[in-house]
Amino acid sequence: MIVPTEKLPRANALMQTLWTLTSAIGPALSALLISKWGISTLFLIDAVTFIISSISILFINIPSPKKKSNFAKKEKNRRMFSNEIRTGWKYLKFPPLLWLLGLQLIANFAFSTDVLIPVVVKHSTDWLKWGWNFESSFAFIDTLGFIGGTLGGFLAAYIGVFTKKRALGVLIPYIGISLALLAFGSSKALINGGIFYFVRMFLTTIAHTHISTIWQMTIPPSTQGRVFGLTRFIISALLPLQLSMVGFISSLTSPIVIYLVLGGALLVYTIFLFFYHPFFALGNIHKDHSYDPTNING
Amino acid sequence: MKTFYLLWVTQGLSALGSSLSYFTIVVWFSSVVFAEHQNAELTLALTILSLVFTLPQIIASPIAGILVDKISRKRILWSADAIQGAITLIIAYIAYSESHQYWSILILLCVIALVSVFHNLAF
Repeated sequence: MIVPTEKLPRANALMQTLWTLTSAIGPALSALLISKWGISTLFLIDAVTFIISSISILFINIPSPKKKSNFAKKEKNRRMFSNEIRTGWKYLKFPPLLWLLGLQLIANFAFSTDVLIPVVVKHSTDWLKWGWNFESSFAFIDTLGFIGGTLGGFLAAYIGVFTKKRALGVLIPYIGISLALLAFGSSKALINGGIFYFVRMFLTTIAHTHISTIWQMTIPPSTQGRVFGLTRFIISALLPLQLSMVGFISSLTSPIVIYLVLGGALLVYTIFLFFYHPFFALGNIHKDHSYDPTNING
Repeated sequence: MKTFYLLWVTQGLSALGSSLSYFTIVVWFSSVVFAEHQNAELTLALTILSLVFTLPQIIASPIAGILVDKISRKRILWSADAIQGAITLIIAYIAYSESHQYWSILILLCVIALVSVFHNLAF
């Protein structure tokens, strides 16, 4: 492993911060550079960054995970694709992990309301009074979200929150995220919308740092490719459906209703997990990556 | 953590590059490839563009996951970056030659998205 288990939260928080920073800086920097150097130069810059990254990896020691568990050894001879998928599924069907995956799916559904942010901004009433236009109001919300996400990432990386009980590090921020979604959807004032979006992005980065850490601590490194391949398949396969459903429903009703329904569903699911005790074992029980589905009844 | 910080910086650089590229493609399609009256074609191209990044993730993730567990992660990471760099160079050349063949760009982006599935799972 590149990172020792105890440093996983910091590494995950820094990765979350990296995605927030690059997705926020990228468009603004592109707009600036396109006007100065033209479109083809931007692609050339991207190609150079890939090549620099590729060459530097050659000089970095990146160990591949060793197969430690008995289960991993047993499946050495299995070469069939379906068996490989089944191996991934065996690790994934650990009930607390399935509930965590459920939380991620519902959260993604709720976060697909981000496509409605321009509509919410348009319906806000106060930016006209300040002499702002739509673009500056939208940028205001977006910037506050970016600041929230970055601050949350640095807080999780260098101060650490809920380091003893990672499950709480997921659930408590998710309560806040649900409430922030509900408040954002019903917000009439732009300043309030900005604050709620800031809170949501701040807490999302913290929660996702813990979620990534839990997955990496629970699944043995030698099986992570198969398991994470499956989780990404499930999450990304549902994404187009979620986006089109939000798009379709928003054409029938007000965005407030969508925020209330999806934020409410996320809140109810998160509260339920507080009463599901096996969930609290996540992030604490598998510090030695010894999770073996053949030893767990699930 | 030293290895991680080194990777964080280099991967951050290429992630920033990709973010620049994605925005640039949208601008390129909207302002250069399609004329002002070609709104329907532009909408179709932008829809396909988003599919080009989503579909490989759906289709390739389970297969990529299996290979990531079997092949050296270092090899996957550097070869994925090298392939993506080479393809982006081709896109840069197409943009430089002012070609309007957006289908070739979409196919190349699809390959980049496919390779990135392997890269992301190995990271």
